Amino acid sequence: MPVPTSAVVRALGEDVVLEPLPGAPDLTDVRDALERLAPVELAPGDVRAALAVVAEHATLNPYAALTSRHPAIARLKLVTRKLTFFVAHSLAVQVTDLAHALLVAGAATADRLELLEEENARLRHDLDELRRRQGTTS
Amino acid sequence: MSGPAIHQLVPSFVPGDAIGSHVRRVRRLLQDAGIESRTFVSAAHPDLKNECEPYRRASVKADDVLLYHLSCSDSMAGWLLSQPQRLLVDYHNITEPRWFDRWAPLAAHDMRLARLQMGTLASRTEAAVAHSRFSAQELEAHGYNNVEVAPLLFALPAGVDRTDRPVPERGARWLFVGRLAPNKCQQAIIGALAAARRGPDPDATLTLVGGRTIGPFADELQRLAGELGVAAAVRFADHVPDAELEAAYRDADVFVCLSRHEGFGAPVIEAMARGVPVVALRAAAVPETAGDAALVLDDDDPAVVAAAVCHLATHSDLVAGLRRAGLERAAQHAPGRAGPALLRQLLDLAGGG
Repeated sequence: MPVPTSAVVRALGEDVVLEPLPGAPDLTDVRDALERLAPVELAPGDVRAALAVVAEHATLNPYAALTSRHPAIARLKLVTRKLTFFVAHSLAVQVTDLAHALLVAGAATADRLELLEEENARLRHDLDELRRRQGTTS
Repeated sequence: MSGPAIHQLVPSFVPGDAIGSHVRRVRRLLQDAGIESRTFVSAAHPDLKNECEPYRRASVKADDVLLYHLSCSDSMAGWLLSQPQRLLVDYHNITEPRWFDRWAPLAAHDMRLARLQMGTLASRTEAAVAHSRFSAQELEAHGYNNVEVAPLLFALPAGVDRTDRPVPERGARWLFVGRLAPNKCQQAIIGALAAARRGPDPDATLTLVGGRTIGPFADELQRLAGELGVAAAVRFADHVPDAELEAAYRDADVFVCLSRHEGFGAPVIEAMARGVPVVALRAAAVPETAGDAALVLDDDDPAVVAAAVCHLATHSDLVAGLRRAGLERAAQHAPGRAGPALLRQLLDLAGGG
């Protein structure tokens, strides 16, 4: 990205020439950081961009914001969070375990189906062989 | 004065909100002019319940005129398609969804739906007003005819003359007012502040007034300030009461607006009314709102924005000129002038059927 050294802008209907910043500070890190916050351009069918949006929201934060303009409300939120944390945590662990169990069950079912398909193919093959033999002997 | 009743329809009726404030002022203008006007809503803040009625129970005469305030998606738009009354639209602008795709996908979805509804209502709408040429062009692009630019009504104090107050060379206090939202690009202001502090003004500070409506984006802004080493110099003031907002304007040396999408940009005018010089980016409706009364940049690179603010610190004559021009600009938007102008336009449009 070219580093602007000076710029001409408008004010009060006239051109104003801006001088470069004194000392020409290195702003590479600033520009890089700002680039990271740029919007994701979602074109139709752009799966990569859609996945980037999913990734942005894939990390769930179980901690609701505690800030409030009223200190009493902020403290109340904190107490409520502490009181409910163990319930929420326990629930989250159970949901995670359930999801894991479903994955294991899904994988086992898929394995079983593959075995059945293999067995089915083997039996069909044997049947065809028997039919062929019967045809040649009769 | 008499004529058909002009009833307003607004999806969300909230006090302190720019649209809510505009709607209440429009109703007062209409009623003062002897025009019957009621307000129909989808949802309303409890404080405003006695000022409005649910739109689904609205009973209005066939020759009444409906004025729909369009800014978001709502079932009201579908309902309007089946109503026999003449329809006017007051367009408050819908932010481009791409700004929200990354931070708030559901909000982005709502904006896409709102833009679809905007297109659907075009053929049903007799005339429309928008609050900037930028917004008017969006309406026209969606098939609207008979579109006029009309003033937005909002509270403005009597002009505060601070013509003699320079922008300090060290310790300038930057200000921006607007909810923390991706289209308002507060990150660019933070980046520019970092540039200024590494250059000629190591003591510059920034106050960002505005609610944390998009949590992940607000968190990222705070992270950015820390990463660039300016966390202690940036104050995230959240949504503040009027008195605190007034103090923020009073204390500010410069108002920096680098928004990429604004349908009007009321805080720019609010800053001008308080005698605060404005540095703004040429984007969306901001340049037409600011006119010549601001230092208008074509680039939001941190070096350019920092150079612009530092230029003000060394050119007191330019600052005085901007403050004077800003006061004149703000005076054009004062309710006393903007109200009657808007009323005339509405009555012309409503009477044209």
